[in-house]
Amino acid sequence: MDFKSWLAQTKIDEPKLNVFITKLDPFFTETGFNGTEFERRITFSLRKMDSDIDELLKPEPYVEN
Amino acid sequence: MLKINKISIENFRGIKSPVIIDFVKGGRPTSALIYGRNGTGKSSIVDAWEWLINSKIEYLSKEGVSERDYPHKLSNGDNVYINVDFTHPTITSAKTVYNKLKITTPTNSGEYSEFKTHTIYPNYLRYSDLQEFVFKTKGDKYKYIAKFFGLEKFTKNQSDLQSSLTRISSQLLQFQSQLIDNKRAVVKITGNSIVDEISIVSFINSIAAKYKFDGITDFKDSYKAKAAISEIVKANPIAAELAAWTEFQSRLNQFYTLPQVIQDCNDIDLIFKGLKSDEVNITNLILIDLYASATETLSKLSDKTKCPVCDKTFDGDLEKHISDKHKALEELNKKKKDYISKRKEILTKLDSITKKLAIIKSEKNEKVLLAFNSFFDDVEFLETELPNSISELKKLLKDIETLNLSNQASILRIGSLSDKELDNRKIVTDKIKTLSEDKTSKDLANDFDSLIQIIVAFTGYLKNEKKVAYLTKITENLELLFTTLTLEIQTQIQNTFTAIQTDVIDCYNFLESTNQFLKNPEIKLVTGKDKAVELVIEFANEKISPAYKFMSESQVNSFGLAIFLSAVKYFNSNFKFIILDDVVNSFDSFKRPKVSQLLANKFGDFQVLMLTHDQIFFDTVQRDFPQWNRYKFASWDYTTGPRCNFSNNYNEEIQKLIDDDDAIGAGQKLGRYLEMVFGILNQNLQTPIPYKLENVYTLSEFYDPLVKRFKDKLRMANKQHIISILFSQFEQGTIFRNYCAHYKNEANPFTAIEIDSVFKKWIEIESEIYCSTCKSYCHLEVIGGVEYIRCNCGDLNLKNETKFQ
Repeated sequence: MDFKSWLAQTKIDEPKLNVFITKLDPFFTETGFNGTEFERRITFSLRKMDSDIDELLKPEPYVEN
Repeated sequence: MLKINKISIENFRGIKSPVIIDFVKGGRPTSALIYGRNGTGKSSIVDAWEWLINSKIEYLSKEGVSERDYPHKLSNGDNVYINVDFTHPTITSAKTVYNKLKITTPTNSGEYSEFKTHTIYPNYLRYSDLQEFVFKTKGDKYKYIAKFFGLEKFTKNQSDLQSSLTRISSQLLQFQSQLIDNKRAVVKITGNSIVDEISIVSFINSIAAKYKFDGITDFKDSYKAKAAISEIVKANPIAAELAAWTEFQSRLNQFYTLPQVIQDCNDIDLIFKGLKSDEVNITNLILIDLYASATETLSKLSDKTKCPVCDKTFDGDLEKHISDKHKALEELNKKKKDYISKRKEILTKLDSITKKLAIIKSEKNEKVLLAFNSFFDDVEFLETELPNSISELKKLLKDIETLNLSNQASILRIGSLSDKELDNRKIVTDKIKTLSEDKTSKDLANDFDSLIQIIVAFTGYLKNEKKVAYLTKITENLELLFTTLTLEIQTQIQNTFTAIQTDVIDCYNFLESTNQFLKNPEIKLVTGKDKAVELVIEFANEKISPAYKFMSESQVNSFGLAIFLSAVKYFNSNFKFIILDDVVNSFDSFKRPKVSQLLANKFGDFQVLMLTHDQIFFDTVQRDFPQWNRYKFASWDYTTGPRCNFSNNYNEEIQKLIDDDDAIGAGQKLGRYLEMVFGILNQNLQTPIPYKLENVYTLSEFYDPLVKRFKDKLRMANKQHIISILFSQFEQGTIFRNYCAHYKNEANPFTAIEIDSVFKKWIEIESEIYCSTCKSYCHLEVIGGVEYIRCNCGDLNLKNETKFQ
């Protein structure tokens, strides 16, 4: 069984991993798991969490009636 | 069954002009044997094969050699290919061509995809692979086994996932720690152990009620409360100033205490001076290991005048000279290590000071800036100058002319700032104390500070809470995937080993048949480790793990080779082809013929590409497999690559020299051959031979005891054994005796006719003592008190009555 087929089978055997594997799948390349790119995406998501909260707590713009 | 007809390689690695290896002889598929000294380009063939199968060469990648370096330098990347022609109903060829536009993706053609379905498992083994199996860790053995069980991609992904998991888990820990700090800060301000939006909003509203401004319902409106209290503070100048000083005190608490660096800088200046005075010798530090081994080697040498480092004769006490040199280099190395360690220590401290400067520099209150005017001048100076000191210190040792760090203005300024710590703290404390005398202003300042702090802390809490939840989910999933993958690999390894175990044991026991005590090897997954296997061996019916306790290097090699051969046999059942590149290197010389015999006995239906730089092994294989095609890589040239010649086997070469009337050439070649065979036979028959310290024997010194041994072991009343008769005929006249004593001496030439008569008679003898079925010479063995002289498979039995006349 090749690795991609194993991943597909694992989605069935471990349903809780189904969504996670689907998201992770593009990072499995011919040369192995592209951890650098995967972690770069995580860092991006973490930054987005910061900016989302900063945006939420930002004073509302003053609107003149 | 897929059979190879021909492999052609051009412009790849060390190969420039096309190298063509033919796998057909007399219209039938056969194997190929290539001999070449090191550096003649043999390994480029294995590299090309791996490139064909995997589009990359793993061991080269590990050494930082990229696909860019695959083409021969003169080819400019053009016409770089490996092409394999096959005999098969649907697969006629498979070709991989270098793709200049996308070097990691070569262009494949022919029936490549179908060919790949026949070669899922690696069918090539290099000497270096075996070395990894023998010498490296349990983890490396795991990788070796996984590779040859076709799990290389699985283990690569396992390793990559584990690296990512480790990094992400460490990131998660940082955020968890920050979250705890945020929570602690919030609890300290509110005095309430519950940290949620309701409790924070309630706390803010309690301040709002106190100062009679509008309360809030959601934390996102906290900025409104902040703005409202700011206005109130602005209207109370004492409270405003108090709030500013309280905030500055908080910054000052983060700024102080500064790390002490002056003493460290004094130390490194001194170490640097010592090192620089010895600068010439620093370049010699790479020789330290060489001098260490030279000291050891020299103590064992009888000639202690020649230097084992430079190979020149030394006039004086060489042992003392080398030992002094070694000691001096060791001392210098210690200084260098001290320098590196001190530098690391200082850089860490300067880095921490840089961060502290950034915190204090964010102060904006004018009253504070004015009161601490000289302090902020120092801070600004350090912000400009400290990076210069850091970059100076980061330079390579050889690039630094002088080092006077302890007297640099920035370092001195750190010292003076540090000295003023108590004074600066006192100024702030006194200021706060004075401003706090008015209780209303004090309370207002405190409440303002609390509100600001709680907004900062709870904002941090919200961010980190989200990050922790996000990363926790990822690490949980990664851990589960990693565990599932690990279990899959371990199960596959165990199942595969179970499936091939019989073959592994057969192959190992065959290679190690001379050892009666160590047999039946197994592999065992190491409990509690994700990526480790241990070797197990049976010693006198008891299982020993780790097997190293009892196995020699050569025996572990046999284990590694047995695993590879068994895995290929099991998995590539539709493509029986193996490449063995110099794999006998670390086998004892008497064991090398066993590899050849193993191939004959258990892999007779395989096509083999055997590469060796060992002339004797080449001779052994050509004798065992006369039907194989043989090539010699005579030399290597940059512009053409290897000079590849079709080669005759030993017998053909001797016969050709005789036919060419080259008696000296034929005599010397035959002599080398007989030396080799007599050696094997004496070993097999356990012939007693007088020990010679210099370990150099003439042909007679091997031959005479051998004949005596045969005659002693093959006696029968009133009858003579065929071997004894043939040996007697061999020795008739003086030709052979003279030949034995003088064949190395060109001044005593023999005629080609005389060599021919010796040669023909030997061929006759050899046909009686060598089994062409199992490729082994007869050997002596005693079973149940009965003595046998027979070959490995038993077809040839010299004790058989029919052999006596």
